[in-house]
Amino acid sequence: MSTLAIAQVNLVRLLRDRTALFFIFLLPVVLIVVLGTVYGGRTAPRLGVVSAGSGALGADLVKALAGGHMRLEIRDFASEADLRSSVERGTLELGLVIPPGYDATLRGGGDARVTVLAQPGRVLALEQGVGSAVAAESAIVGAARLAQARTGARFDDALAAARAAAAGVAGVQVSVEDSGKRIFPTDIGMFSLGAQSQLILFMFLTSMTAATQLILTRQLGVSRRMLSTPTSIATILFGEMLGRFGVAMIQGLFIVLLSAFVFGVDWGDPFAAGVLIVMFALVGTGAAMVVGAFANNPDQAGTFGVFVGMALGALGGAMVPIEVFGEPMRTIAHVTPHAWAIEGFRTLVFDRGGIVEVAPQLGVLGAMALCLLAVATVKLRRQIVGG
Amino acid sequence: MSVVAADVAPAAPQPGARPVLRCADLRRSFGERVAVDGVGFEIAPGETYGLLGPNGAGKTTTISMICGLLRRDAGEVFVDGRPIDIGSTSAKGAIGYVPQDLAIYPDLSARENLRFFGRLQHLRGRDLERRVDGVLDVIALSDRAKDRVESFSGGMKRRLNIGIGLLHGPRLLVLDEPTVGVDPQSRNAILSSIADLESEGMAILYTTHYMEEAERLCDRIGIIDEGRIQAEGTRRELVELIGGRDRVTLVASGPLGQAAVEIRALDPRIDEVTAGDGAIEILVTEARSILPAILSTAASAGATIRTVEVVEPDLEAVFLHLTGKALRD
Repeated sequence: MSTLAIAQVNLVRLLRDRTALFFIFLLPVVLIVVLGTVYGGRTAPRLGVVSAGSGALGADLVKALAGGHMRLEIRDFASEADLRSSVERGTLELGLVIPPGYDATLRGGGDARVTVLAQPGRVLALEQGVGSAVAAESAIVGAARLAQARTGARFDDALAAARAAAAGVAGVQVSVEDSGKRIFPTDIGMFSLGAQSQLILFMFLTSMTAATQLILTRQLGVSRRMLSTPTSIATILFGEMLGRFGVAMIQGLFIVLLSAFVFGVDWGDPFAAGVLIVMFALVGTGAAMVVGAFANNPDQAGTFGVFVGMALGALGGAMVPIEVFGEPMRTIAHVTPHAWAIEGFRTLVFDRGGIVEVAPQLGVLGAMALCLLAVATVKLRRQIVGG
Repeated sequence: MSVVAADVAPAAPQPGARPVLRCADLRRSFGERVAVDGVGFEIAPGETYGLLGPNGAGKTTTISMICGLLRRDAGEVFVDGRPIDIGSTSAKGAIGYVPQDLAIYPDLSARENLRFFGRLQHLRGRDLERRVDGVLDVIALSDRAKDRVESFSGGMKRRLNIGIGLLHGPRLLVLDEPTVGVDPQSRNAILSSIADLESEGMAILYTTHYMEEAERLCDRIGIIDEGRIQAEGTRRELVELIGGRDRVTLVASGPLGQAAVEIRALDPRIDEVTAGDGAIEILVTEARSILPAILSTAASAGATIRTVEVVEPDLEAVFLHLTGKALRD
């Protein structure tokens, strides 16, 4: 019961700190939303289309582009000016203007001109891909016009026959195959990557913040006073650990539950994800206890803790996805618990793994937690009993 | 602040009864420095024992060993007949420790602080709430019970610091310089409440470097310096160590040795005269009546007197006599 009393008082004190509340409950949500909105989970190139008044053939062209192998995300625009502006601002990879009267012009045997908009030097392959799709559609229209001229058939009948013939005519088949694994699956939610990163980053940072409380407790002489009561040194240390662990778990569960229920983030196997969070919370607890044991004052602990938290977060892939790191950096990243935890979540969410598949990550995190807690326990014990 | 002794009859010190605290031959060194060197004493139920000594004398180290906060190199401590060490968790329930520092959480309320330490004393439920309410009354903080401690004055924090030590009704209350940094009004209130606690039968160990506090509160006093108890007894017994005599200090120049010889021969009430570096120290009975003759004799011997100090026998004088230095050195 004394252990729980010590842990509880730690939690109460943290939850009364308005700065801590901002970092625990507000900032992670803001970052998840921002990162998810800007970068989250989008893998399809965006093609903006102006096609008002382009008729049935214009619609056929848009349909052909949307269904093609480029997996384009088509966005409709009302005017060419809007489309041009979006391309210039980079919110679209490419723009396509199908002029009004496109359908009538082609049916009448005239030349129609479509315009592709792109920033200079960007997405050349995409530009060529769209050009090819337009050309393919143009070839079918050309075949239909030839058939109409030779047979006197109606244009729509000739067009249908040309489409049917194009599907059946043998020619050069281009097959596109994926080589290697996609960095990120296409079916993950837009907030998934951000949520994983923020979970790891903030669980660790919040633990570090809680280290300052430990120093205050020591400096105020409360730890020694606890020892004057019927409370053993082991109980005091365990209570302090439990308090810090509770703080890390509150942070972790808040991000997981909020992101799951509000943003629809998938965390994979619930049991394995839970164990992974517990293990990482233990690492955060150990790190906080070490900082709390070795730092001389709360300011030092606060500064050092935030620095270490941010540095390990950056190195471990909690700020920039570890997948974009080069090979040497990816190896180095694994000196951090962050990299192991993120790797664990990738396995659970991207590869649909379970507890067995993340066992290596759990083992490494457990070992790290054990080492940190052991060092902190020895140091704090000496400090409380005065050598 | 006052303690209401509801149904507890005032108790006088019971020297014959089994001591609440018995410690013997306590020793502790920090590296080469010997902080405590063979300290031992006993405290009976209802008795207040003062450890009087200057800063760095070894008071807090002694208390830390008594409360099981610090390993001792040698010696033994028994509280209520049970041995105390760092690991003696259950026996520590008999001790109420009030540290010199304000060992309380500033971001919790007074009630929350009391509840927290009450839970560490294994108090629960209604019993805990009843005791918390009682202590809040005793330390006169009932109306501020819900306020965060960081908004309290220094005196209020001190009272809460003491209240936490009282919460579980300890057999031995250990107070380590509880009035340091407290304004005179709050100090007076704290001393009154401690006197009331003694009357309730609690054994109290009180450390201070304020002589007047020791004289006012303590039934017996141990004078501690350089880690050793230099003398121990009631105030009267300690004063008698220097013969109940006044100490006259003449800061002077000239032939001080000759002046000392002539002063010694002046009157049989003059017991001891020593000439030192720029001063003559005289131990004398009833200094005030003989002082004019002393001054006259010194002057006629050729000494030029600059200042005269007369110290009538008190604990300060005893301390000076025993250690050769003032309490506040």
